[in-house]
Amino acid sequence: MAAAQSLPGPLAGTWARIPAHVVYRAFPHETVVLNLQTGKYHGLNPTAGRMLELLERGFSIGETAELVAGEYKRPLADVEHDLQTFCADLRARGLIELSPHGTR
Amino acid sequence: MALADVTLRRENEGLGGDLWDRSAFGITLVRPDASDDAGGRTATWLHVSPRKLDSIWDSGRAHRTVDMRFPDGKLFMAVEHDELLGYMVRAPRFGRHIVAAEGRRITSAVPRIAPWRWERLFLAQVLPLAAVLQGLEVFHASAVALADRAIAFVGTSGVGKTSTAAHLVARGAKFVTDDVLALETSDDGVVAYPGAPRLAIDAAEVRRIPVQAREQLGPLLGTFEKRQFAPTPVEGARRLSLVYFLQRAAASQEPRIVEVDEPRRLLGAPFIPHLRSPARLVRHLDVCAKLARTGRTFVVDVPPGCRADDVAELTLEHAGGVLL
Repeated sequence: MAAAQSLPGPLAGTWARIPAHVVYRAFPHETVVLNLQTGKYHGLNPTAGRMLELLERGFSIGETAELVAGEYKRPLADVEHDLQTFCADLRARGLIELSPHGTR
Repeated sequence: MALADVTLRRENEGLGGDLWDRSAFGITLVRPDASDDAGGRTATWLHVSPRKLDSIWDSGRAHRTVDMRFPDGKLFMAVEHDELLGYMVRAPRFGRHIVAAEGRRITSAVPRIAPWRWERLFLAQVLPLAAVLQGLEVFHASAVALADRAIAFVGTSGVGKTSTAAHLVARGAKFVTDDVLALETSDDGVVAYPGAPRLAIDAAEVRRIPVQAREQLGPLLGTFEKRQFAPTPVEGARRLSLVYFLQRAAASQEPRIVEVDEPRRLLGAPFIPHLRSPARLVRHLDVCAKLARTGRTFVVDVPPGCRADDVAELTLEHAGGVLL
């Protein structure tokens, strides 16, 4: 697996898209992401699963951070940092693509 | 070879070969001349000569996806894939079978031996492959039915899935399947389809089953590595409610059952793992996700030397308590 890299610049106005070769399903206490190109499963904890769900629904990364910070009552700066790391990791694994344009 | 085995083989030489128009793993095997209104998932099963099979299948064009060999290098089983024709499954002395790409037609060239012998490859590999190609998901598991619900036993080979299921059947549970479990999502959960009418169990385990209770395992077809029985599977699909993951636990003194919530355990038990089409991978994930939401999963720690009938007794009591 490629190491997660920091994403360039602020991501507030960036959108994440889940490619066609990636599917995910919610389990009771975990979300499992499947990369159909590699056949590999990836496990996400509930918070990360919620982040992915919001990103797929078309919220920008900035909007997702605000929503998650509100839902989990966490400082926005902390959530933004975590989300940025999370997106970098997902992108490194080929599980999301980033775009400056939203689709919602 | 024991005289009893020879006698048994002669008596049962004609057994087996009773698979036409029967269902296993959610698939009904129909004759080539059957009408088209069989309903449900069917697979037309055609028997041909080895020469005819060779004229259909071009191994030079196919891609070998499975090549299992004995320690001495001799072939145990091979599976080849041809995008147009489908899959060829073959094992020396057990026949060769072409499963069409969509799983609705099986063409077999079988050896001139007692049917129950060559049927082992057909039932353990060929029919499950057809089931997967027709949209069912298959797991490496044995299962029984209790209180109208299916209970599955998952674990590595040799951990005791079959023996535990056999002891439960001897105690009155209904036989669902041995070693291969076909599943499908439904509106309210996951359903388990009855498997093939075959159960292969160690002779030592058979001896631990009271003689009267052995009838529950069905007729004894013969011995090939293990005792080969022909139990009658439960009729119709049953909702899968409980999954027990059997695992060796050297640190344990007694067998014990612990509830777990680990999707990876379910995801890690596919049968026919060489078939990794996107559709199959998604279906496998769907079944596991649904099962995780609608069923319950447990680990059974099996200490060294623990007998399968003790594991069966423990799980029977546990499952009874959970289901009732």
